[in-house]
Amino acid sequence: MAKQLKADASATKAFFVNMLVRDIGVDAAILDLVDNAVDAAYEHAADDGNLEKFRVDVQLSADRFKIGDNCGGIEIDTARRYAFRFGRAPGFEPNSRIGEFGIGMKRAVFRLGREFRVDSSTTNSRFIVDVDVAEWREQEGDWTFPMDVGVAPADEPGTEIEVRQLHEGVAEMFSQDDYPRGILSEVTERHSETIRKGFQIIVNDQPADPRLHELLDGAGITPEHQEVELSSGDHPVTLRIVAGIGPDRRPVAESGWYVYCNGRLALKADRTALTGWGTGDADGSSGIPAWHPQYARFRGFVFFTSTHAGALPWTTTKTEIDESSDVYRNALGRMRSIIRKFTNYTNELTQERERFEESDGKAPRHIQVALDQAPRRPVSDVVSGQFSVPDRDRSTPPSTPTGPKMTNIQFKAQASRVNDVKKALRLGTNRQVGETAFERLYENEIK
Amino acid sequence: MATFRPKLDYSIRPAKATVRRMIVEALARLDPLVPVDRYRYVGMGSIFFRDFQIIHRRLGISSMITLEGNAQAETRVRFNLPLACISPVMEYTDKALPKIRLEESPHIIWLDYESRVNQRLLSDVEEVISRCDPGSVLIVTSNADRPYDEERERWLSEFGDKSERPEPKEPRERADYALLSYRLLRERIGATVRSRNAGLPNDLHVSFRQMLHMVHSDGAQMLTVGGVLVATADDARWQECGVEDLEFTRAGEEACEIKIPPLTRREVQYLLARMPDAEGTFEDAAVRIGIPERDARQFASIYRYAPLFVEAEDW
Repeated sequence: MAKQLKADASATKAFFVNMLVRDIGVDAAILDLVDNAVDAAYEHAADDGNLEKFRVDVQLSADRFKIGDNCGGIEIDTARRYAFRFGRAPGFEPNSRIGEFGIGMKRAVFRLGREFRVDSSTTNSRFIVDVDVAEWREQEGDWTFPMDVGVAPADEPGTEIEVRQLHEGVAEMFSQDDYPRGILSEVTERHSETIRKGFQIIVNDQPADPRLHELLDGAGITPEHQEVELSSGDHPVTLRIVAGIGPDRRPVAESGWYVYCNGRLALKADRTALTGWGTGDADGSSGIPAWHPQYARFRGFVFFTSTHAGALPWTTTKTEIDESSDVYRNALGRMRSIIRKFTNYTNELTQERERFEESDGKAPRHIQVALDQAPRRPVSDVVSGQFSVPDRDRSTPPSTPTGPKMTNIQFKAQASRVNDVKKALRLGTNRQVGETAFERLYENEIK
Repeated sequence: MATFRPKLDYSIRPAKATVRRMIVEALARLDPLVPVDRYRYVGMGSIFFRDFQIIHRRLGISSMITLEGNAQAETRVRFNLPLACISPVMEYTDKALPKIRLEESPHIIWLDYESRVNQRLLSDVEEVISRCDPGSVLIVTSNADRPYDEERERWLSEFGDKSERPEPKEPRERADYALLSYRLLRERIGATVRSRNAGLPNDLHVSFRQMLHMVHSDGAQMLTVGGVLVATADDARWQECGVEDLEFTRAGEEACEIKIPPLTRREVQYLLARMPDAEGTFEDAAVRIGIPERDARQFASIYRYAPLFVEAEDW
């Protein structure tokens, strides 16, 4: 009978730590830690969802990273059995809105530096874990962190994480003047929904100030609003979509779809096929058009919420959307439909402008008037409706008695060539291409 | 003044007229699913409105919308409205469909195109299937004739390269084009149904039950595909409809070919007197008076629906 031995396949700590932090950026590591605080705040919030008494404070400098919150703290037992485990321990069912994959905190601190200290108080307990990663790595086979529990709870329940001996690249990043500002704006954008509920985020003494997204609503313009109950596995997921016309064409970079998972922005101003825009030409002859600057005022917001973070359509890094998830696919069909309505509106507006110009300012401009007059409304206040704008005036334009008699010419041309001409001559519409073609013909052959 | 001239007089194309009557016959069967007079009909009536008239008369539907994209046709469209219950929407389908509240009540939508299956048409299909109320019917008619040379290449390339297209990847025969067009349509319908159902509990799922797959020709070869969106909860009522009992309905990839055999009035009367063919002697009887067997079989499959056109009088 063959003899069997066992080969050692256990991971060394050094290898494990390297693998763990390999794919995470410094920004993402910080965002993970902020997420944990936001999670804890929701967990301890009153039923009305008000988060005014909660805050997280982030301090970045060349020699140290510190994040502190007052969001309830971690129970000793939870810390001992679960919070420091790598991966989700069996039997642990957190009531977590954002954190899901059980690796965020450890991955973040390993990514940032060589020493870390976690100090967490609840109303009646406190623990401190203080680790020199280099030393810990030397102790092969021991996968525990020492916990100091003989201290009185802090005045305010919460968690403070400090990372010292920052890795070289990290220290360098943190010492750049504009880095904290960048982090602040990223955190603000991602958690704008949470900040609106009163939660405070502070980065290097600067408080986050969420910019509200607004849509035109009124004067005949209605934004789209849909709310549907979906499910992912056995977990209910609420889908809310709000979309319409933004207050201004600028900045163009803000146009597109914003996708939030439990209040956290997972996709920002997206204008690709991932959010339903076409991949073909701008005029939509291939179905849904590709995004084009003429759609600069489009703003769409998709909110997925669930008590179970794993039911949301995001990937483990929580910075990307999982296109294959059922709830996202359902949303995408609705988003494509909304894009059709919006691009139709844009074409109507263009025609109204052309009519207006042709008629020397006499043709009515119902859509433009509505755009000028419509009040703005924050996205969170938009209530049920289907996207619509006033109908364009369709009566025959008043004929201009002065001037020569005009006639129409219509012809077909290969679309790709027409587009080439548009690009080369910087022409905006097919009509301009046609007019230019005629003018040049007349110039060359008749004059 | 701008005028409008339709390409064809739709009212005198016999194959099309037959298809139209078959469609109405199939729709009438849906009564157990949705009392048919409760449907709203959305069609493309041009200035002839043949479908609107027969649907109103036969099914009692009295909420109707006709879509017309050619703004210059408006005067003639309005002049020719044959019923007071038809509202014209002067927009092309891609502009009009997003505005119609398809989700609020069951609709019968017949997208009766002259063009081939193309991305814009498929986008219309997606718009309807993703939004319409369960119980709604979508019928699509499109050109499925054989394109040549450059037109063929351009058409095929619209659906990506070979690896992305369904079979037949290199269509040659007329029948290949009908099958490929059919599959492109069904693929989009299927994909849209899947994403519509995704994330919803099972009892809110819908499935597309194909009723019609017809190929007909009054010149160019045309394809008609139609079906109803049935909610899981309504499955038993759909079974009750018995749509499959009609001889021209098709649930699968095999098309029902509608061909109108060239017969004289006297021949038609002779053949009609022998229908239905309970004794199996009909074909012999046809051959006896010199009618090819093939034409006799065609006659048998369409005689209940084909129209008889006669010159009634001079204009």
